[in-house]
Amino acid sequence: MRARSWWWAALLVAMVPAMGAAVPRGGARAAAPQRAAQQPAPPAAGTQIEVLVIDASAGDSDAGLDRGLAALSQLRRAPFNMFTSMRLVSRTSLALAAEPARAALPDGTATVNLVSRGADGRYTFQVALAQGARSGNLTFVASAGEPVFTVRSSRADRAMILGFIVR
Amino acid sequence: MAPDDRDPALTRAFGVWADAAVPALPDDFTARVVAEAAVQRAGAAWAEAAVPALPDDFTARLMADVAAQQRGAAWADAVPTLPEGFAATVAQKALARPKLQVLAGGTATPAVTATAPARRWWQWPAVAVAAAAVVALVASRAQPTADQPEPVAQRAEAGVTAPAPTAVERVAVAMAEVTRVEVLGAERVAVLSMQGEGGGSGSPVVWITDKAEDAPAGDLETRMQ
Repeated sequence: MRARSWWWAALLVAMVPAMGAAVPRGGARAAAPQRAAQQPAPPAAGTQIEVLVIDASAGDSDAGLDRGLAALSQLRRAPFNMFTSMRLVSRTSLALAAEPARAALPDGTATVNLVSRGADGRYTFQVALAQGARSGNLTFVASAGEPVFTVRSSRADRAMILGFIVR
Repeated sequence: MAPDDRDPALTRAFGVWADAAVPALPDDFTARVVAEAAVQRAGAAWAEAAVPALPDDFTARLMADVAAQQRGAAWADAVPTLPEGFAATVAQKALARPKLQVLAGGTATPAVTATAPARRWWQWPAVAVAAAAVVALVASRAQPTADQPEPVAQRAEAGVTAPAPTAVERVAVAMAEVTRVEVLGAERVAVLSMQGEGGGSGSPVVWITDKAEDAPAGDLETRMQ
């Protein structure tokens, strides 16, 4: 290639970034992911949250984890590994939205509602526990698929574990 | 019954005939027979051990070699012979090349000798500028758009729904956490944190210790129903 051709090629290549800058980035589809990273993301339609009720006990019974809990590796680590038996009592799937959704517990209810969804995609949701005279209001921030837990225990060898997983 | 018992004369006649008609064996008959047998055994042993057996495909390989030799011979016959004076023609053309003339102090024009190095010298800046432009292009495309001012207002197009969360958005960028804990009627509340398997995620555990009198009685599953 002659030297003149090289200069023309270099000039054309040098013009490409300028053309790219000139293209309006306001094209809705191209800018959407960038805006999503900077602004609070709207809650995805159909977002669900699973409420797991687990009966955990320590002692003579060495039944281990229920088959339905095998995917939750957290239950095999501290502090949960103090229990020798974990039985899945119930698994309820609720719609995670601003409107509260209620799951039944053995001794009450757990009400879950979405507070917001952050720019990083994490969900902030509120859990209201009503168990007789006892009550609790907890606010969690978690990504989808990342479980959070509450444990209610009154004895050293028995506890009721509640797991919440955004799907 | 022995022959002598039946006919002693015949027996004697056989003896005389044997002495006269049957020639006597030579003295070294036995030794020669033994030596010949030994030679035969030695020959058989040599044939079994020393002579290698021909491979199964010996004939096929031999025929293939013969065929290959025949093809080679046919190819050699088909190769045209170089014309006479071929070497001289090549030498003349080589002498006729400009570069050779220059080296030999011939009369090549200056343009012929100056073009190659000059072109090379002018090409490098062009290549460098092109490479810099490509790097600038890639860098400008890879830079985050945080520096760019966001539009003050955007027009929402009718019928355009919010984009579904992508897989990237679902990746945990920080550990799950508890931001608010209010528990009534409990003896103690503790917040524990469990590190996730990947290291970039984690799970909080709100551990609520109830009073002893609030201990659940009976089977939880039964109480659910």
